[in-house]
Amino acid sequence: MSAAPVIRVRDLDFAYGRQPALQGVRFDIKALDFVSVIGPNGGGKSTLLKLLLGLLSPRRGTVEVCGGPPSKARLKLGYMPQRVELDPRFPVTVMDVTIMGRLGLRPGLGPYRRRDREAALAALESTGAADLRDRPFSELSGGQRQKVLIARALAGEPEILLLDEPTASLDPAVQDDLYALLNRLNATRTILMVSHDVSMVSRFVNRVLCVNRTCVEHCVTEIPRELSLLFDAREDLRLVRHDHDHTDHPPAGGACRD
Amino acid sequence: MIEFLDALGRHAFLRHALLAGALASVASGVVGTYVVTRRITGIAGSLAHAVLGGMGLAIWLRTVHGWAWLTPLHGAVFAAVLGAAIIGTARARGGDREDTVISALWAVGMAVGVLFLFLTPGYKADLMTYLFGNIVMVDPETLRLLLLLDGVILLVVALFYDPLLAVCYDEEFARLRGVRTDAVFTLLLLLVALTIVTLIYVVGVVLVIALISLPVSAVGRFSRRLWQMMLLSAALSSVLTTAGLALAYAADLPAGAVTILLAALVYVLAGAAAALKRRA
Repeated sequence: MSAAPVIRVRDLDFAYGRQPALQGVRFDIKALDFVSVIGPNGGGKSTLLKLLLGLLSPRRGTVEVCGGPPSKARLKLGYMPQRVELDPRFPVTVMDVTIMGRLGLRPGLGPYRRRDREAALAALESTGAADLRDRPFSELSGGQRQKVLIARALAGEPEILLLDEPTASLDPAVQDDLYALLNRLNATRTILMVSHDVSMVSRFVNRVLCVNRTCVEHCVTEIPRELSLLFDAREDLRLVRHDHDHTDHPPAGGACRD
Repeated sequence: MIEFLDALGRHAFLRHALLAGALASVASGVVGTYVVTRRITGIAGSLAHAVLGGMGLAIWLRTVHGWAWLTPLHGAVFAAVLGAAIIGTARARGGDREDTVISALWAVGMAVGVLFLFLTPGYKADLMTYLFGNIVMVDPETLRLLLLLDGVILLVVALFYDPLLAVCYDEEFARLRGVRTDAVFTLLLLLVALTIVTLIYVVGVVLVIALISLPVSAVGRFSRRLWQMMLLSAALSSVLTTAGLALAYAADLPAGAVTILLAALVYVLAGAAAALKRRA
């Protein structure tokens, strides 16, 4: 495919004060890619996400989203923050939370329109959370909350989904469920997901970026069916070659460019 | 109680006081809900104390310089709005200075108020009135202004309910959806400022913060949605200001202090009820 990348990062440096957080990062993300961003805590994964969202500005280098600066592309992005950042005592229902994804697609004054409620409900249906719509958000389980927050990101009908640790602290069955959902959504949307969990992401993603101050792309290789049977896999296994030394990331630019 | 109802019939000042309590309750229930859920009671406290500066200045200008048209309430509105603008700007600029600005505004407002009241002959005794409220001093002109403030507050909340909710719940997400969050937050601070002005006469500068936060927190445990919290706390506030006034009248005590203690009692009882419900 030779289409223009939906996200294009070149020679990106970012620092908090004098503490460098990212150096010389470059990568392209194409439409309908499913990218997992992995790396150690404090390695710069969330910083990279905030740069893509335009919440932070690069010290050096460029970030382009949909062919322009991130701040111009915000309405094309669906963002799901880490769930721990939300106040659990805030009096909102699932619908109240989901429909926030419609802000920016409506006039600034007055209540949400019928179109907004329909879009929010459709988003909840696509994540399998529609029957929760009148429940207080605070009463939901971890997996249910993640589905609602993904629905909120979807409600704005984005081209790219940016998810920050969507499966953190969920039990494996719920994680499977969520990845199956993301796999379905990937049919029509580009997904970039920060994850701490290398083993789980490898089943559905087609690319893996490892961020630890610098950024390295890992090859995702199909494993022969016979071999995957040895692992008792329910679905196709893929191999992520994660064989570099984290203390010394090689210079930017992955080996898997196509 | 019968005695209080009888007195209501006989004394216009009591009817005015009752009405002022109800009008202030509408504002504090609606805006207090944002203050409590967004956890900005510190900012509300700061604005409340800053208001004293404006009132002191207005009284000084009125008495010493003959600006007869200027009332303490005008000064209160001016100081509250100025304070909201200062905190909103400090916050939008970022950095770690916001906290300092909030504390400084708190103390500077008080200092300015005390200074101007000191410079105004014959007004020293009134300091206590502004600090702790004197609901029985409400006149019809004040009631009209309270009504106007309620109208403005309700109109703004009706128009901006959704962005205000989004900014209070998840400001970063709201910004990413194209909401001008700094502007919306400053608007919220202006609402808080106007609400504080409506409460000054009921409970005074020092006690405002309790009437903004306690009724909302008490009903918060029983509300599933933001607008329910607003309605319930406005209703509870009205009951509290009325009961406070009646009790104070019967026992010849300061109404503001009695109202606050009642609010605290209800808050504690609501907490205990919620704890019992969880255990059951």
